[in-house]
Amino acid sequence: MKQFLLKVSIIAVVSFVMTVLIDIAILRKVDNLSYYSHERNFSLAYYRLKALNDSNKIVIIGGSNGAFGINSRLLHEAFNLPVVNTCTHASIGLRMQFETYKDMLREGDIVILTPEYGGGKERLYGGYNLLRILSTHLPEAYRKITLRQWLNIYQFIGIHNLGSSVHKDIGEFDDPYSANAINEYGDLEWEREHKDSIHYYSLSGVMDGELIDYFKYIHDFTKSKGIKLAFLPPTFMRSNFNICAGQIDSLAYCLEANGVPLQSAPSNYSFDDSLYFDTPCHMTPEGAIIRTQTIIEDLHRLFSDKE
Amino acid sequence: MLFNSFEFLIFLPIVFLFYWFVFRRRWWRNLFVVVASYVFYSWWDWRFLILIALTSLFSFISGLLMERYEGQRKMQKAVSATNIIINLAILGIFKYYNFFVENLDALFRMMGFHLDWVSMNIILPVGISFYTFQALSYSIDVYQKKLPATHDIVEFFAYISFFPQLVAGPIERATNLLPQFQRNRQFDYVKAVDGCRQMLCGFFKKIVIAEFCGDIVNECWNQYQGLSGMSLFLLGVLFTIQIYCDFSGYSDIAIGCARLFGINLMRNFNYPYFSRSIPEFWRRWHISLTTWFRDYIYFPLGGSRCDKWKILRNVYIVWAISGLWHGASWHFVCWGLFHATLLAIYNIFGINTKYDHVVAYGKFLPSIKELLQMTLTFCLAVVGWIIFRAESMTQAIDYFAHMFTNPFISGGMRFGKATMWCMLFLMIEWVQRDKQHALQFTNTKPFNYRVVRWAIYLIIIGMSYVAYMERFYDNSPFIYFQF
Repeated sequence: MKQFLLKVSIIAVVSFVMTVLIDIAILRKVDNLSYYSHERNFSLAYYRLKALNDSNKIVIIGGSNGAFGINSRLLHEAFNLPVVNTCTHASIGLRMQFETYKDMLREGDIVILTPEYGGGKERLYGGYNLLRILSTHLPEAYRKITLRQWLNIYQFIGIHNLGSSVHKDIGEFDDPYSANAINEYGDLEWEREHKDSIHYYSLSGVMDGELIDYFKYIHDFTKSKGIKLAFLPPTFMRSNFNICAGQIDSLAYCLEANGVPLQSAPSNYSFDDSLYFDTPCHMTPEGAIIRTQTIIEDLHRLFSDKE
Repeated sequence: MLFNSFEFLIFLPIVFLFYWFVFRRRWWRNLFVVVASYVFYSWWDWRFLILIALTSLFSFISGLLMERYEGQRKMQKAVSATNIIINLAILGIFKYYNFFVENLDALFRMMGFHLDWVSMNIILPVGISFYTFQALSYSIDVYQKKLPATHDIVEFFAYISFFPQLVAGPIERATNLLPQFQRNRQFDYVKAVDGCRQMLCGFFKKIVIAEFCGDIVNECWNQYQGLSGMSLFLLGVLFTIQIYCDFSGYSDIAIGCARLFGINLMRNFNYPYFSRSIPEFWRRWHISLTTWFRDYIYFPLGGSRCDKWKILRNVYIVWAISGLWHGASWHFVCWGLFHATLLAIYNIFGINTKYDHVVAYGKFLPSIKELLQMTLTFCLAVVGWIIFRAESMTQAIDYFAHMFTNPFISGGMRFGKATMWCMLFLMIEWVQRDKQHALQFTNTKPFNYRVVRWAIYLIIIGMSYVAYMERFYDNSPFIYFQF
């Protein structure tokens, strides 16, 4: 029996080491689809922020609702501050975004936080796109991942391996989702028209405790550093918003009850269906302008009051 | 709980350590087996524990009653029959109720009547077909005096619920498995090591080969109309490999796992795709089920010891039931009858009992005749599996129609690369065809070197790990779980 247990233990240890080495090899793989897509904004925003380290700026952090739904040029003109739109695919997770950029925030900066609706752990720790974005665009950001986050995202290693193999023949492309659509601010600027067949999203009205805690952490961090935080709702197509109004109210109430309320009513960021492109969160260029004007009004209200 | 899951990776070592180090006495060890097996089973749905417990209880009591009525054959027959009816009724309700209602409704509608029976949303308990047959085996064997009734309810429950073979076999006979629970087991190092190898072999077949083939089959099956004739055949070949690796892989894991606990389960697959005839194929495929049907249905009907027409009748009855066992749908019955027809043909030509030895034993290559025989048998098996995989008989017929009417090769031969990989796998199995499993090494070079064997194990573990992680979201259960 002892000999058996010893052999099994040795095989188990060697296998574990081997699987770790396999994981490391997989995490070094580049995914061409990600490389040539708008996900490249994750690293572009990082380097933009690095270049603006010594000056005040407006930083937008959120999901693709911010990439497709904000006209940063208008913000720049309204506040006379450089704007860095870091928004990208929401499945990168809020934690990864904030941890990557927070060291480059300074007193006097304005942070617009506009995460997607949805209260699960994936909103915080990231989903299947996180690994491909990091591996492809900013591998050094892996240092920001804690053990707890690894336990949540470990399951996506296989999908990243599969994706990088399947996408190996993909080259540069031109459409609203491509890297070529990223403008100097980080917005996605490409010809896009409203599509009739937009599938509705369904939402859960429950918010994960760790996600709430992280919102509180962002709130406390920005406060301690003298950074102005505007925690704004994401944009959401009106007809879908009406269906999910109960769940959205529930999420908003949850945040308020935990001391991190949204600083504008969700309904203010729900616009006519015709202003949306291909999902309930992605706007047309016209929609982005209207939404940005709403943001500007809210920023004036929030920060003029405080001043 | 699936074998290919992290939960099982945690479950197995814990159970192993407790089994050998904590519960050293036979009765306590058997009780622990029952508890562990019920935990394993409840991972799917705890409600179905009631069913397996009831099945076990009825069969146990039937054994005791038959012993009590020793000398009164009529009473013993009544007890055995009652137990069979109760267990088959449970199986019938959970597996065949909706099938029965739909077909009865269709029959009455043909006559112009409309039944108002309600189809129920019944979830099929995992493994019900397997453990029910195992319970029936005990009851029938006690009646036939092949073994005495057991008085120990714990060892009997352990026999029915033993977790490695609980949900997808092998369907164990009471004469083989129950006596092993009636004596204390000793740890056997050689058996345990070989058991681990067999489990590794099973995991590789399931996670790497079966899933690889399954991805292609699932993606392409419903678009078969647009494929060339050759591609349709190759798709059938891929499913043939998938179902073999899925099921034999599970059996390897079950048998290997049981050996870790000092239990020897019966062999369930014996390289069926190297069979030289369809009768030989069925002596090598799902051996536990085919021998169960042979011993408990075919032989009582008269078997082969009657005139030609009765033999044919017996064959068709057994295979119709076998088809129905595989699923509550007419195309499964048609699949069974397809094989019955093939067996009848082989029977007529008198080659049903030939070929009970390993093909080309001691040789590296088969003879031309053996190669042709294996190819024919393989192709016939592929035809059967296409019927099996189809969602209905209509789809199966349409599939064959397209196979023969679509251009033979158009737009390239799809699945050629995948089929080549599968053939490579079969070639490896060919080399090991006289062994219990593909990782049973002999003392020949280079496998007598430990570093070579361990390198092979690590390569298999690495490949299985990568394949498992890629399908983490879609961690599909074994095909035969639906039975």
